Amino acid sequence: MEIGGSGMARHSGRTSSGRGRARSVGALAVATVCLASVVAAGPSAAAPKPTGPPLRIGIINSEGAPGLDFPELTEGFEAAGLYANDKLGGFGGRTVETVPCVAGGTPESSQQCAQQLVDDGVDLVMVGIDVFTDFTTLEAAGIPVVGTIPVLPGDYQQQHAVFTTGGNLSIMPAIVRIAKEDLGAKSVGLVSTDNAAGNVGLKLMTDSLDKAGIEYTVVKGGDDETDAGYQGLVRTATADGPDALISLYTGAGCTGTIRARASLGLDIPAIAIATCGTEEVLDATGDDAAGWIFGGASGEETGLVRVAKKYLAKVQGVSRKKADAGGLALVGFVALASVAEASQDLAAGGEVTGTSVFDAFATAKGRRLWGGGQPYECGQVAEYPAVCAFAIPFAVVGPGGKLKPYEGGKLVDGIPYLP
Amino acid sequence: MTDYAFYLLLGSGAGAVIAMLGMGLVLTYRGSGVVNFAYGAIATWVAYVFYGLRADGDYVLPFPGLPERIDGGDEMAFVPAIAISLATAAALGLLVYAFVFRPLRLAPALAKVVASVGVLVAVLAMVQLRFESTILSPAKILPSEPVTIARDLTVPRDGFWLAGIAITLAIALWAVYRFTRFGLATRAAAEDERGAITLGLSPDALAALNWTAAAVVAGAVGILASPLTQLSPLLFTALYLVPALGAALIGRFTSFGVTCAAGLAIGMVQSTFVQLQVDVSWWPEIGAREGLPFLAIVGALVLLGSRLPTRGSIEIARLPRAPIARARAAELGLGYAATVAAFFILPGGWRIALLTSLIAAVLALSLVVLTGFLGQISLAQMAFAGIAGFALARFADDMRIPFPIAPLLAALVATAFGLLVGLPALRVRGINLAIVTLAGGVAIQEFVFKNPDYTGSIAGGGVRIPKPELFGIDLGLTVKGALFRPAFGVMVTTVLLVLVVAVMNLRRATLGRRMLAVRANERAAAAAGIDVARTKLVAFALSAFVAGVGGTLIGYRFGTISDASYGLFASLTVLAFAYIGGIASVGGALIAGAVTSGGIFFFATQEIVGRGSSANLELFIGGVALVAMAVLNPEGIAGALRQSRASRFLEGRPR
Amino acid sequence: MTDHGGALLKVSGLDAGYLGVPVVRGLDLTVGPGEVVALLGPNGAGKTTTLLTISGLLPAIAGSVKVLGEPVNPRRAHRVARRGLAHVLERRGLFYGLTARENLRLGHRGGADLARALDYFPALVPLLDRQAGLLSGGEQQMLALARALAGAPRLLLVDELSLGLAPIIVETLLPLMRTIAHDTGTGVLLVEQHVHQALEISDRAYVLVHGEVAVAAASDELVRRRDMLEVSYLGENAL
Repeated sequence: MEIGGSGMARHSGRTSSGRGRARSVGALAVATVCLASVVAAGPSAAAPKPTGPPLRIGIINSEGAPGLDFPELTEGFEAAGLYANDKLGGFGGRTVETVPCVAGGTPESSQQCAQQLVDDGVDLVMVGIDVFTDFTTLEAAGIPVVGTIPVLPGDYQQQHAVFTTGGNLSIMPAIVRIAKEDLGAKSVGLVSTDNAAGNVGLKLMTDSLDKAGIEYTVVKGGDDETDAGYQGLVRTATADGPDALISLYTGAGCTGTIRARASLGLDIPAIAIATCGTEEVLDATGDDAAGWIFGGASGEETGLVRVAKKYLAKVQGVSRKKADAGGLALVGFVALASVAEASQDLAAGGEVTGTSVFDAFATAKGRRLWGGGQPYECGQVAEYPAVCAFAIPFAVVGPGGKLKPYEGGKLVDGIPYLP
Repeated sequence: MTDYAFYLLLGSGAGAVIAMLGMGLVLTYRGSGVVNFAYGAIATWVAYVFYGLRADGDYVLPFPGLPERIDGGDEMAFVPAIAISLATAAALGLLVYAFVFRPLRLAPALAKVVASVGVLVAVLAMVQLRFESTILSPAKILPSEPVTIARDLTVPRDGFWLAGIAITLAIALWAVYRFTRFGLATRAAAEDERGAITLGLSPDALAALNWTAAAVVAGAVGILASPLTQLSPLLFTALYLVPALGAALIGRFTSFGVTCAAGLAIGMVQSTFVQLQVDVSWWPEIGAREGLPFLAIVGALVLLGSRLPTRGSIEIARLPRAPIARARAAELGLGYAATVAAFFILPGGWRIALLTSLIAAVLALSLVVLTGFLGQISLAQMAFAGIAGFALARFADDMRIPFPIAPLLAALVATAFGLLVGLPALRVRGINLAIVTLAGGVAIQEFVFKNPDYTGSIAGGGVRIPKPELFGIDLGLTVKGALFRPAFGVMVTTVLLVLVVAVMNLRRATLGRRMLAVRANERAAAAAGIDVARTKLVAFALSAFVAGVGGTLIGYRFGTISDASYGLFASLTVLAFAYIGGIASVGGALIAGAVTSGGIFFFATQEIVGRGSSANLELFIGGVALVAMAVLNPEGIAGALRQSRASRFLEGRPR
Repeated sequence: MTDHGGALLKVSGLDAGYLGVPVVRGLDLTVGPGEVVALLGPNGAGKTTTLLTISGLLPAIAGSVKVLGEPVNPRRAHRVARRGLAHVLERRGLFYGLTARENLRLGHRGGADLARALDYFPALVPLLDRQAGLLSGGEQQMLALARALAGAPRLLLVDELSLGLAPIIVETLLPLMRTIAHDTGTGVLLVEQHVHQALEISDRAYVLVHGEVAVAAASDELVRRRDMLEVSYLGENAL
């Protein structure tokens, strides 16, 4: 079985189809992780077309707000809905009908979306990126939630919601694992930005490092560092000669820290998070990025991406060639498709409701995410009951500045080092 | 020691940006008496325009409804791109002056502050609307090869170049102001506008020219500095703005040289924090970097005892009228009953919108007390709310203090904090206070709201606020099986009613009259025997208390707290809507609540027009609306309603 | 540019005041070339208000003001000054942060004769590089006048020249107004508290009481008819 990776390696800026994706970081830097869709022999076996009454799936996603604009996530969900109806028998034999609601990045608008979907009578809610998801309202209405990327600490503790990825909880401990087991590091230098989201991620990273018994030096900078400033940060972080450098910067800071390490002439192993593994950043840094490892990115396009593109094209209203599977589109696609796959057994007998679909997905054991992807089990780690999958792919930048899968594309999870 | 010298030099680029933005602020102030909080936004827009020209050959237009961009072919060459971009800067500066600040020349400081906030929001939203990918890496302009300082220490030289440009600018501006007729005329008009007019000088034309020059400087900063960092929407707009304000304050908004030096110093010292945080064990882990400019500002104000040089303007400053509310008990009772009934009758989405409106009204009330009655500008009102919110989490969750006591205690914590903020307010007023509160709000955000120890870490499971309960009745918003319970709405409406009555009584009471006297003329008030210091402190305390109550309501509503609810942006939003509703009356606060984003008016519009609009577009419209309101009607919607009703024989309106 | 019937200043039916409330009602007033006209009256009569309205610093509520034949536009008040009106404000309107020389420079618009203006005030010459705020009261008043004259105005408004000045200085400065008007043909409108000295150097005088003209006559006549003056200032019952 060939193991590769696909994913959100590219944050497309202005795409040729003219539909760009804004990706400003703004006040909230959301660390994103992409799912590994591991290609198997091909997509799963087709199921008969759905015949039952439509199952209404609400979608909550942040769009059009400063720093929170991810329309491609909704596109991914909707494309997966078409795919599920086409090939997977919908959800347990019932047609998937998506009901989107746009959250504006404030607690008020998130609450409004939750209320609205309740009023609309949806059976299940899927969440893209919604920082302030009102789980309380949805729970009280008996509507289960399948999310993609947890953000706030409370998300991880939800009892009636699950997430297909672990967000920061996947990334940080996995990085620690690579540092400890692959790089044999006993000390690391950490560079991070001093903002709210950054600090949450940093605390998680340092807790994981503590658990792994790795020493660390933390150097914090701002969101408005100059290139010179990044050099200072990296220099101070590596002053004591640690075994590896870890950068928790996102967005603009990616370019800065990558360039800084090159300018200082360092060749110490360096790890960053997936938002650094984008076309934009790699274009800007060129050869400077050689040797960097990115957690949560992978370097390849696969057959499943092509499948997804077929349906994304329909949602985006463009030809298949021009379909954009960049950004977080695949995260959404894989999530909904996985739920559909998990609920295929329901068609045989039993009631197909939002709850039963949710249960089919959330309580499944020994399943893999859509397309034979990574294995998942929701609640596998008791302290974080809402997370279904912890493993993430890594990518490494080759000498020419090109991204390729790390260690053949293996998935790494940091479960031993979860705080 | 060479280490620290190295870091100082490393920070020269950032320092130069701060210095140049600071000098632009000084230029704007000296020329027109306006502290332009939107100055960084001009730099931002021009930087993006330049990038668009260089990267794609497109010229981006900021007008909604019109074509987004003019396609000029492929990437544009450097010289024409810069020429067009700087021309854009000049045009933008002139436009903003002509349509916003020129009409506001006779207006009180608050109107100008609100207007520049509106401009800032509108430009920021437009950047987001026009540029899909807003984090950009512009190509280098200034030479950036490394310069060797010592053994293995190198510093990229573009920072030095920029510092050199900043110093040159300082000298040039100083020379123009010292020796040229234009500079003389501007200084004259700043000191005494009437005197200048009698000599045939036009303060208006001088202001316009200074604004244009300042805008071009902003554009140049945007273009030259963005390759040093990476271009992002908040970079110049907010991140560099606070330190720039600090530098300008240290220069007393007068001296270009001192501002330049201060800006360079701030940037360079900030750079040394990188090493300091490692060397010094007691260094605060969170917030040190952004907290410093705030300290610079407070220090400047306290140590130098400096106040902004007041402008000798022809000001018939009309502050918004603060009428005594004449609502009778019956009217209040009716309103209360109607609102309570609404919570039982209306469907879920409406109830949520109503809840948003009521809480916004509470927050607006806090501003009515502080800004409407006392006349002090606060750009960080939500910080009080946030302090109370976080305190509530501690009291109610950790310490399990029961319902009405926990939020009251939390509000008292906010009150104590309000007194703390009120102390510098004794020495500082008007625009100065606006700047201090802006910086203070940023500092609180830095030191408190983004510290996971307070806001909750992943391992800790986040912060929870338990449901309110009174005499066994669950007042929580949502429980299993029951969404949006009216009980919560009733609780919030009751709280609002109590506060409304309290503020109405405050207006009628002696204390209220004292506040208005202080607002009108501090010296006269003191001469009349009013204890100005005490009045101010009490007003700050009351305002903080009300804001604190609002903060606890937010906490109960969501069951958790986040920095997004209480941050700088939230503060500016609250101020904006309070101003739009009418900053000096209880009715204004209620209207502010009604029109706030996510409130009932908003929701009703969405129901009619259809959902799914862009938040950025709403932001843009909001910014423009705020500017329009500041220019056209400083008394807000409430004032406009009052005027149309009242008979006005003897009242004239100035032209 | 036509002089309307030769008058440098023609005020007709002027209502002037603040925020729509008139302080001066129905004022008619003229000043011709080479004339010195005194505007007298008790405090609060509206004299300063009148001058501010004439120079456009205050918008008129009703009536008309024509300076050098053209109406005054308060929205473009600085243009009146450029046409040849100089107004020495009640509190002098000096730029205290600038030096005397810089003040003069601002008043001086190319073509006019700066040296001549200084001729009238030789005491200023050694003080040119001193900051205006550091000058004595008398020196400041001289500077204000010199600055006004530096622009070679055709109409000069002076508000309370003698305010806060020692009598001996007043005695020197007031007659200067006469000399200037005589030498240059400039029309001078003078608001003054020192009634007798003002009458001595002026051709005509208006007495403004509670916003209305109580007396308008030639100065000689007013000197002779002292009782008329007193009645207008103090009211009919005062005598």
